[in-house]
Amino acid sequence: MIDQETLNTFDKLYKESYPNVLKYVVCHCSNAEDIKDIVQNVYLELLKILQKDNLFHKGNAYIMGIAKNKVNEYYRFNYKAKIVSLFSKKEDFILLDSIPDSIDLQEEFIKEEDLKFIWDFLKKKKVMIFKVFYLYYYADMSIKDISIELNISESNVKHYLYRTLKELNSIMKNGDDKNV
Amino acid sequence: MSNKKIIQKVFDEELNGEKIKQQILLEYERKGKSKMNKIIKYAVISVCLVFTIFIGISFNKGKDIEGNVIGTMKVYAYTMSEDEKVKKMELKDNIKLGLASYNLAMSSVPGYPIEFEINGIDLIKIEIINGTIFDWNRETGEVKNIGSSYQLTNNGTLYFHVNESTHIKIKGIKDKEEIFEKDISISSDDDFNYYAVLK
Repeated sequence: MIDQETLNTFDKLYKESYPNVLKYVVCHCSNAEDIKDIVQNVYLELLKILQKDNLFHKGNAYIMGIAKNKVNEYYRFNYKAKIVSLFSKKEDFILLDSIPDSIDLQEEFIKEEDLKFIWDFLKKKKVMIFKVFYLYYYADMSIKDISIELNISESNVKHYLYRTLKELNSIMKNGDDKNV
Repeated sequence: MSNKKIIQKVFDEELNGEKIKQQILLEYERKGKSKMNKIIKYAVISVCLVFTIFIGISFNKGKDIEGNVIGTMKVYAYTMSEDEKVKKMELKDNIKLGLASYNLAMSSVPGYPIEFEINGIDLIKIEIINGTIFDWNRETGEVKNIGSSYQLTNNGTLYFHVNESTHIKIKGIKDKEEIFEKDISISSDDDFNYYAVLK
């Protein structure tokens, strides 16, 4: 059982650190399916520490340290794919220079039909696409910042967004044919 | 609705902090309960073991086994099983055992724990080459740097700071005579996973 004092401290730390921890895990995972598991491991460890040390006063940096360790541990002990470079496949070198800079990423490609479907679609895409979507639309980062964070070119970031939105739109247009 | 709002909604649904927090708390409670079940299970096993030993002693009563007793030692280390659980394993001769992940910043223990169980000997002399021995008082949390050698007269756990060329030499002493000598050699792979082999 968790006592109230520990729970309060946990709530406070969780609220403060969750966005950063989530962003770190998303950026460093090898598979979108692993995100929730890793985040859970981070905070289970924090709870364990809080149970032992009620006077826990270390802040976000310490929790980010736990996150770093948990990501490494997760892939080491689950024998899952290690973090790989985006450019591990030859096709990725084809930076689509042909994509015009004038792309409007806010143009309405997709409709709010089935959120679960969109989530499943994104999860099944290459993990880098998932990361780009998360950082651009959810973490509200600029294309330039995303390119720095993920160590890919800006045109690649745009390419991933544009191509995936178009693909999503085309699948959703076909209604019943939602087999990604 | 714009793409941004739709995608935000998708991530909000799936990675919602509150939802995940509730799952974490439930998982923590569940783990706590399963830990309690394990403690009960181990308690029952211990009682059975004590009972078996008692029966064994009763059967052997009267036999003179004193002269046949040869001192022994068992060494246990902690490894990580595939289901991510830390498992205590006996180090056996020439068997390479992967040591459970340990990181100074993260771990609650001060080094790789190795447990020594001695039977029929007076003490063991432990000497570490390329490493440091630590003692850790679990009650007070006090960590003591022992240095490179130590004498253990009872069963106990010591904590070791190691690197890829560490050797832990153990000598069993009975009646002031050395009756065995063992060596635990530590190695590591490219991913900084450490392994121990008893020889």
